[in-house]
Amino acid sequence: MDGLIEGLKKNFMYIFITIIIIVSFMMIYFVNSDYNDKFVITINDVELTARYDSEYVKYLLKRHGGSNYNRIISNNSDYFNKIKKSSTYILEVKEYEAYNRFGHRESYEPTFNQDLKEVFDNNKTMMVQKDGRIIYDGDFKNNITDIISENGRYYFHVYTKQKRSTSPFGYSKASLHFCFLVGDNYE
Amino acid sequence: MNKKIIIMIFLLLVAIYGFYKYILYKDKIEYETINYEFQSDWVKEVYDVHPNIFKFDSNGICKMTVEQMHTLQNDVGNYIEHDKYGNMCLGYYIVKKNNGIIEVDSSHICDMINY
Repeated sequence: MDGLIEGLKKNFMYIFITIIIIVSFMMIYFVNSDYNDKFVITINDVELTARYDSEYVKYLLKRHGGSNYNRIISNNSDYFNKIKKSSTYILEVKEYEAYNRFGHRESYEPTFNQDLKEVFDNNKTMMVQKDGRIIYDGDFKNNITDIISENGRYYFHVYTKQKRSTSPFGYSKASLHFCFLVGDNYE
Repeated sequence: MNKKIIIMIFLLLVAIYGFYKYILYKDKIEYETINYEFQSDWVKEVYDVHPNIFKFDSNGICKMTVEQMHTLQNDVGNYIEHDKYGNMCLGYYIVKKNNGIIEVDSSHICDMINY
């Protein structure tokens, strides 16, 4: 009888340790989430619609935060960005962290009443594609006049990476994807 | 006994790591997969509601861009696919009409077109 109780105790201990490890993993991976910021993207003061993907490590494990649009799509035409032909093209990407009325950080929600605090990130990188080719890959720059050398549709990707967690492995990445047509009535 | 516990914990950690890598792999595959069939079904749905926006040539072929499909009609909603880089797929559909039945080729929706 004593042997049976001893065996049950051991099994219970194994099960308990297993549950602790699994629950810890689930807590680390699934419960904690990152915050999505607000992004305002303009070229020559025309606001653009972009899709952004996020990826982050809160403590140790990498997780994808999904895809979102940077502004509310109220009409199907909002998806399609168009820029008038110009002698200069100035790209601006502004990022804002969102806080609720108690001052706690939260993900940006366009319909919520939130305080926005601008983030000044100088470590952005950028990649540009046109006609299936990569035509620029390097540091982010505001003056993109040299990239837009002709009419057509340009596909921009802006990558940000920030350290937001106390973990030595922690980071938060956002990839902004947007395209726009320069000029019109041509093929 | 200690050896058993160590082996058990090690196997558990390996299993968790495998599960974690599997989740990342599934995320990557899901991100890079373009659902052409769903897009074709959507075009057929648009055709049922707005057949007049499709202009077929003498061979019964109509080529429409993703932008045209979204803007000429504004009530049959759909998401815009993206390629593995994250580019919005703003290419074109080829719609063929044969005896009143349409077939949709969505394989060009991620082509980078300049119009």
